[in-house]
Amino acid sequence: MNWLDQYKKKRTIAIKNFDEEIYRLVKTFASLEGRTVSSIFEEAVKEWLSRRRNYEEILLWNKLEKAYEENMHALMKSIIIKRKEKGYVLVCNGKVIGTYNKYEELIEEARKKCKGPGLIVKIPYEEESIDLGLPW
Amino acid sequence: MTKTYFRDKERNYEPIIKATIINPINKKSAEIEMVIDTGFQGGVLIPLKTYAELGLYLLEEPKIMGITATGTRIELRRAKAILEINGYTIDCTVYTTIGVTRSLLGREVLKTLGLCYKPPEKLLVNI
Repeated sequence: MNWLDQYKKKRTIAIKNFDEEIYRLVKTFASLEGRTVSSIFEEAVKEWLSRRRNYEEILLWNKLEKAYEENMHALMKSIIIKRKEKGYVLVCNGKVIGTYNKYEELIEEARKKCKGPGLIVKIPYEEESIDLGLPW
Repeated sequence: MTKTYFRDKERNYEPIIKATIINPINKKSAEIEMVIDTGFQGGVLIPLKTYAELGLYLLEEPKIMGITATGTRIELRRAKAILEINGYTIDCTVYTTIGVTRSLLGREVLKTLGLCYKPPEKLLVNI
């Protein structure tokens, strides 16, 4: 299975101020069709999403985002990032793999140990910005 | 094969360069036609789909904030890659975000290769 497809989880959500009549209709159809209310909402929302102009791109971005956030979270809670030493940190699959003095060493280690999205961070870590010119 | 050329007529000598981006982790590569953009500080900006196809998410650097000429702030993903232009290879940073439709080659690469944007004909003004 591609790592991009492994982030399918279910969660409970509550929707405020939803039209009661629509909800009752959905419930009745769910009962008639032997389905759950959530499966009907999922189907309706999926159809709405698929009609968005850049749906595929947003879907891909969100999948990448999930993995990135896990790696960034692991990095931020590790003590390595708080030290003032210089080098590179390798994070993969939500775990800090190690620190390396040379970039080439890190690449070799990443090839061996990273099976999914990885993150390489130069330490000490500083947030940066970049000039983009005109929007493309 | 022509690696660099100017796209004229309605494009006003749009400078185009063909280069190959190689992912150093999985060695996947793609030849891409890019617009030379001296307003772009970074290396290469490519569409998200191409970024994902190359597997550049396998070893990314922390995201960076891009600031456009209009002051809009845009979150960019980035990863190191190898750029091959006409037999020369250099390390460069590849950027992407949502909504990128054209690939750009920015000042990071121009500086590394010592390239400059030269108009094709003589200048019409003294500058």
